[in-house]
Amino acid sequence: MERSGQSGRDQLAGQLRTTIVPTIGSHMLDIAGILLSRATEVEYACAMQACLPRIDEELGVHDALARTVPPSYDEYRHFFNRVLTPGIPGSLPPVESLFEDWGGHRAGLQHGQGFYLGRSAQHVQEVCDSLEIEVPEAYKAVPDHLLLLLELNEFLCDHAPADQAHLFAEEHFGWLSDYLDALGARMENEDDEALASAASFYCNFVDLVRRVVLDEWGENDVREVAQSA
Amino acid sequence: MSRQMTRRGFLRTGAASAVLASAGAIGMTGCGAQREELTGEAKRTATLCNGCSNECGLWVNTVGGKVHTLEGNPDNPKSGGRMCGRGHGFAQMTYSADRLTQPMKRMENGDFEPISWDDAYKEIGEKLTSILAEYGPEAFAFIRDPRPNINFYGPRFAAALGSANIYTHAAACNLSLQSAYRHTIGGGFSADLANAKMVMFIGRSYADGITPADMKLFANVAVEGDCKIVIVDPRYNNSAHMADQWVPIVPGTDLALLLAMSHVLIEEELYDAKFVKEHVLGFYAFKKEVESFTPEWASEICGVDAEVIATLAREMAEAAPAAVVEPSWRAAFGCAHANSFMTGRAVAAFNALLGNYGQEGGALITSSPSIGALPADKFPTPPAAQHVRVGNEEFPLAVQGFGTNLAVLKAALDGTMKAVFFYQSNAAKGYANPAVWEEGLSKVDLVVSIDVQMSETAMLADYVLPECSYLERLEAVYTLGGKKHMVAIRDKAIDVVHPETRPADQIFRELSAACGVGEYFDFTAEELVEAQLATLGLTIDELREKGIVELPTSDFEYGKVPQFNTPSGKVELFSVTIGRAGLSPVITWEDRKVHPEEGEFYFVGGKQSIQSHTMTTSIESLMDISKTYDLERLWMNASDAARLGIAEGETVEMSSSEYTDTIAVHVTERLMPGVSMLPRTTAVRRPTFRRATVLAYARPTSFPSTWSREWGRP
Ligand code: SF4
Repeated sequence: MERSGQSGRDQLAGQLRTTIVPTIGSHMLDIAGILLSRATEVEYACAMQACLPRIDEELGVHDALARTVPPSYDEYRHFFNRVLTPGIPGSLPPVESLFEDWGGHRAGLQHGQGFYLGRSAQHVQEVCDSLEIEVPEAYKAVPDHLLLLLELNEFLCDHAPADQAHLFAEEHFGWLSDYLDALGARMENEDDEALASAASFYCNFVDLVRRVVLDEWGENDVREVAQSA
Repeated sequence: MSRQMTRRGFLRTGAASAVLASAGAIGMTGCGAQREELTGEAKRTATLCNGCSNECGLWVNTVGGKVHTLEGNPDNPKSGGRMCGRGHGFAQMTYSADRLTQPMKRMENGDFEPISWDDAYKEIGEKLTSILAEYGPEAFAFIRDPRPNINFYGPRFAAALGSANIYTHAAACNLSLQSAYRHTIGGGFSADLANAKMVMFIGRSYADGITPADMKLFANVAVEGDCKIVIVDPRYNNSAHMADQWVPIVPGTDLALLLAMSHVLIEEELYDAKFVKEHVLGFYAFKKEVESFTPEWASEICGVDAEVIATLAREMAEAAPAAVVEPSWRAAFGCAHANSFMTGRAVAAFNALLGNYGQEGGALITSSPSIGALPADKFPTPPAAQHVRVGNEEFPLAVQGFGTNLAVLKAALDGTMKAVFFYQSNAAKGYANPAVWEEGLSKVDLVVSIDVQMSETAMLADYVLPECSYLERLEAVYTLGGKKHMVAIRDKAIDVVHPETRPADQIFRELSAACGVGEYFDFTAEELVEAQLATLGLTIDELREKGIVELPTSDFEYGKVPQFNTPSGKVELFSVTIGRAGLSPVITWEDRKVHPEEGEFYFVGGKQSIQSHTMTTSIESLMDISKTYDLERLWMNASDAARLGIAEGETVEMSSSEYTDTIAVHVTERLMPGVSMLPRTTAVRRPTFRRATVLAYARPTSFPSTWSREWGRP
């Protein structure tokens, strides 16, 4: 990977990358599994009680997420129904293809954003195929769903050469900034308080994931994150 | 892997780490470049566009199982080898973020939650059968956008449940007009534009409501031909650019124009007396009726100069029989006004005076091919319902194949309609008066919506069943009538994108089984198509190869006066059937129901050529066109704007008895004074819908608007 105009922090992060790959940590991944899919009440409660406080420990820092009182199960379910469920007007399912430009000559009919099975989905599918990883049937149209991206990222961090794992992270998590912006816009005039508070928790979580995976944590934290991996 | 299981186990990684260990790399570098090309097998599949009810024939080009491009099938008479922009845009729905991806059930708090197909079928089946047991089959209604596939499955499903309550959206479209033609000349007709010397379009614009082949023909005839084209419309629509004459007219008064033109033909003995003698019933009653409907009388009502009216009538007579008043569709008198039904009758009558039925350049009444009887063992026919369809008594003149969905709404409001199913029809936003539909549907015990995307109607449903898009399904065959008979196929071009979506044939097979009437649906789409084609002497492979095949069954001949499917077998200017329904048996003058008061405007709709009602508004690229070209503005004549001190682009508040909102104004000379015009895919906000900000729907009728459709009032 070539970089120009690197800051000291970038250089340090670059050095770390060559040896140790940052990972988002198993507890965050557990929470991702709960927040990004339809969890049961018990699963949700367990994750919030057991995993949330440990994020701080894993990261070795204090993050807004760990200090946030999580929404109740009903509140989160309401949020999931309204904002993360595909097909519901105004919903924003966390799928990379929907936030990338189908564009380019390959696209044929599709131009602009907001389409399933874009280039990112195709790439994730290819990576999975090459690794003989099976994408579940229910995710056939969304192999680049955030949950699967996190799983795959974790797997690559554990098993793939560091540069390739990093490349995957860089290629497949950059869209989260746009995603957070879209969520912000979606919630801007929302007068449903339960929805707004669950959204804020969810956004904090996604933002944390984004920063950790993309290694935007700050020098010391990068080191700590890396060491914890 | 146990680690995954703790996180609910999404990816099955199996041998992945072993693969990595042996290969050492996963080819990640350079993946961005790889991602620029679609790869895989290229394929071409014959299908029909679903961007509007034209259902133009297409070839779908796919690469690696993904849709790449579409092109019109040159053999298809609707597309003529071309597609309109809306058709290209609508194909994007297949991959759209707005698609429904799984069955859903509405919870008590209004949220939708996924439900498995099995559970959805079970719950719907139990609720529906208990409603039928308690209230009878007349408490169930099925409303659809009438396309060939659902025209097979929908009525069969309702009939299997013992219900005669099957309807289309037509009461929100052109039911008045179609019913008028049904009772005057026996059915619809088309204008033989290619051979005409003069054609009058009333409120219809081929350049706005596009059918590609018709648009091409219109442009050729208008620009290069020697046919005189007259556009009667309060708006200088996009066809008027190519026409010879624009006749601005007060909305809802086309009837006065037609009666006065008839008056001129009769008074000046310019009508086809031989045709009238042989093929018209009630001429003398009509003649007496129009005696007082002079051009001067009409001019006062419709705002068209009396001399212009008389000249138009004379020119039409001069060009007859190669002259025709085009049948129109929805905008002017489809169902917009209290006098729409009468206006349709007057169009048919004027054409009769021209003696143009069946003549080259005139009004053509053609037939459609019929699919033969299917083998009864595989495709048993459900017994006929034992009750009269709700609405038939109150609205006896409605075309039987359409029915009057307003009767469903009324029954919902009075609590007698207990279950309503919708198939790809958005009554709660796309018909009239959304608030009333919302109220009506809130009183129904079971509402089910089958659709590809969420609609306002689906949002009110108890269950939403996601159909796959038209590019992902094979459908019952599509027959095309006209001078030629043809049969076309909508084939499956790609595998389903979302695994939890299903085609209609599968949904009805499974749903009917859950309702205890599965024996009427025990066949696949492929089996149905094969059986249908066998009755026409064709195979599915032949049709797949060509997309469309001509049948030898048409008996159309120019110069032959067609059979009029009316009780008398003639063009009925006097109708006993209509008289018995409580309307004037003879064609005569009726006013529109409301007129603007001081300070108010007439309010009309116009079509945006790149939108099909609420169906296409979720397509971003189409909405971009609407926004880029400012197609969502309220049109106002420059003199009105000057009087009110309104400048181009300024935001105004518009208000009717039903709705108030703000909107930008387009100041123009292309609209007659006193009239406001809003493109029909504009006007009511859909704030929670992804693409749409200001859009979607007005029922531009009158101003203040009204929801009643008195095309066949009791
Ligand atoms: S007119 Fe356009 S949108 Fe309608 S079916 Fe044809 S191509 Fe499709």
